[in-house]
Amino acid sequence: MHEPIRPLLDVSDLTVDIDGARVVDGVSFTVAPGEVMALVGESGCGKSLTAFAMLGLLPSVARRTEGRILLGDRDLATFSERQLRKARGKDISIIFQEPSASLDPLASVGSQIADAYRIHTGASRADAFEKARQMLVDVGIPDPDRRLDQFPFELSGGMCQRIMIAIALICGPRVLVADEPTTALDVTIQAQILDLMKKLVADHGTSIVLITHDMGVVADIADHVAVMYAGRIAEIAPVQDLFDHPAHPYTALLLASVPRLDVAPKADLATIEGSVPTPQEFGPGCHFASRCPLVTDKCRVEQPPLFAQGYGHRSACWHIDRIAEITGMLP
Amino acid sequence: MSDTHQVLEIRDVAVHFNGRSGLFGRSQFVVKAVNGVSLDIAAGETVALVGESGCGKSTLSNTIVGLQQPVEGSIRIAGEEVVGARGKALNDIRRKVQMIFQDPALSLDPRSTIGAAIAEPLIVRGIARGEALKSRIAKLLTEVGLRPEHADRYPHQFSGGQRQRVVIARALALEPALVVCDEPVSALDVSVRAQILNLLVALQKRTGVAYLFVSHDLSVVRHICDRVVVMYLGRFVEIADRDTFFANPKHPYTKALMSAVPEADPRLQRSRERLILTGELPSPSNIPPGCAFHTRCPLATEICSRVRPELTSRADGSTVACHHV
Ligand SMILES: Nc1ncnc2c1ncn2[C@@H]1O[C@H](COP(=O)(O)OP(=O)(O)O)[C@@H](O)[C@H]1O
Ligand SMILES: Nc1ncnc2c1ncn2[C@@H]1O[C@H](COP(=O)(O)OP(=O)(O)O)[C@@H](O)[C@H]1O
Ligand SMILES: [Mg+2]
Ligand SMILES: [Mg+2]
Repeated sequence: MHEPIRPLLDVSDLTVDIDGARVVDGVSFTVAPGEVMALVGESGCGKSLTAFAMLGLLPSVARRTEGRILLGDRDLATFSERQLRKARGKDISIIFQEPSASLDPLASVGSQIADAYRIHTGASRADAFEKARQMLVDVGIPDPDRRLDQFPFELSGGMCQRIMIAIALICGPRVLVADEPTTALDVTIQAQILDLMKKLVADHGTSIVLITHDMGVVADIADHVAVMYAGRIAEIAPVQDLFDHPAHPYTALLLASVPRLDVAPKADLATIEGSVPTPQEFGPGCHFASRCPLVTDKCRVEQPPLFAQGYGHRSACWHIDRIAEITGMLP
Repeated sequence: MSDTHQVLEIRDVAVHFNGRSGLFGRSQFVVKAVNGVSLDIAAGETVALVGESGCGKSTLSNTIVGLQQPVEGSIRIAGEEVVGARGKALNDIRRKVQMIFQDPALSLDPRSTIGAAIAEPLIVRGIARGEALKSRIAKLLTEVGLRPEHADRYPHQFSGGQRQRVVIARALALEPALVVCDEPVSALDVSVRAQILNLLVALQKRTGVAYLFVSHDLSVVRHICDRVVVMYLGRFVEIADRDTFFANPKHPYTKALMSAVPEADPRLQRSRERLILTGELPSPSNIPPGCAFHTRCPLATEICSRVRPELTSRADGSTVACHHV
């Protein structure tokens, strides 16, 4: 058995409201040093807001109403805006889906990376540029001297994402939050970026919270997975466990709806009827109740807690014992 | 000899754009998006077109449905030439090929009802009106898994998956022989994606429609296609039947694409042999000489930078453009 490692990041009961709707509802997970935690789920399920809340970057309409965000022994949830600004980049960094949107179009790549370093270290301009150059090498950008002088519009999407990673990492944060970092990129470039992230974890023990909707990406890089549905964690598990023994109907259906090698070509894929409810439509019970093939009256009125299902594996379903029925319903 | 079972025959098609750059757009260059490609699609067949973004998939798709003109080559639809055709003759041929785009939100007018959107091609072509039109729309809506009463609603009242169903219904209204699907499920969530894939397969079984299916997702391609075409910088580099393609990919670019797509199975994914491409797609306004892929190819030798390899047939029926396979 593994020694239980003390988590580096311990998020508990994170809750975010927008206009009275609970768009993130009691999200809890931990990430050990050098571990990749994937947050997966369909669009609108609250992945990005969870990430933004962790860094104190919520849009003005949104409010974090509850939750603790322990990074080491400090709770980011209690930080002032000033303290957060200090922590961001130095202790915890974030990269986004659209790298070109997060870069300043009017500043050279070199100055943007160097500035990120100077803010936290007060290093000289020359030192910061040397450090920036080294970062470009580290994130696999060829010809770094030329790139330092270029502007974002001169670079491809994949290149911009590497620049974002360089900016996020230049001060050596212990946690990197990556919100769909490869969704806008080609699979070939995605493979390069995922390898870069694996290298980070291996060489520096960086912890990564990776947000994605792609089960292939999860299978490639995650150690643990939290499946989110309509603002809540439906299931959380070590990666192999989740794929082998999904314990929530939503996870089981999600996995079965992806075409795999063992599904005959053109055979019907599993589908989930209906669509994700909007926050205004959330009922008092399980949010998946409106689409769940195992639904009973209890599900509609009473929210299931996360039940333990084995080592590090929990599922928020009243009918875990009936999950096998899902397999029987598949086409 | 008749080729009428081929719904599409394209020969040596090239599509170029004029680009401008520099101060005041003073320097001009030519973007060679598609560079001499040939392909047949048979009735009822699904052919996948795969490759990185920028390799010319959408340009070729748009050219097939007539949204773009080729600078060279021939395109026959159900045996009839469309390049250079005009007027009513062209219209009659064109209706046999329809298109579905990636983003259903952009292909529907927010101010028109769903019914009006589906009716439009039928009215424009004078095919149905009045009660006949109404019942035709009701039937199309039912075929794509919506309800007849949905005809009076507007696009914003539907989810992304439902909107893509509407777009499919409209594409089917004229009973086309071929539907060109440009990344039809890429913008959809996985559970909805499965619904649309199931629908496309069911419609094909019922109507015998052929698909040209543009996708970057090889697991989807493996699931719904009969044949796969790999495109790189405006040219085809490999064409093969699905089973041959996935069991025995040949072109180094094909292998790289395949190894880049992660399998949704951690054990399998982590034990796979990986071939990670270095670098990115060169610009189609400055295509490398010889084999366009040689700048990123692990097998490249001297000849590759000089001589462009032609597509040649292999024993298993596939065709590949590579000096080294
Ligand atoms: N700025 C905002 N204003 C209003 N609603 C928002 C805003 N950002 C997100 N939401 C809503 O919050 C929910 C969760 O959004 P998000 O975290 O972006 O989902 P995901 O990243 O999983 O796609 C969605 O219902 C979304 O519509
Ligand atoms: N209207 C246009 N004018 C100039 N260049 C274009 C135009 N449309 C596409 N291109 C260029 O042609 C190349 C192929 O594009 P596209 O067919 O959209 O590729 P894909 O669909 O494979 O991503 C790209 O370099 C693109 O920038
Ligand atoms: Mg998001
Ligand atoms: Mg395209």
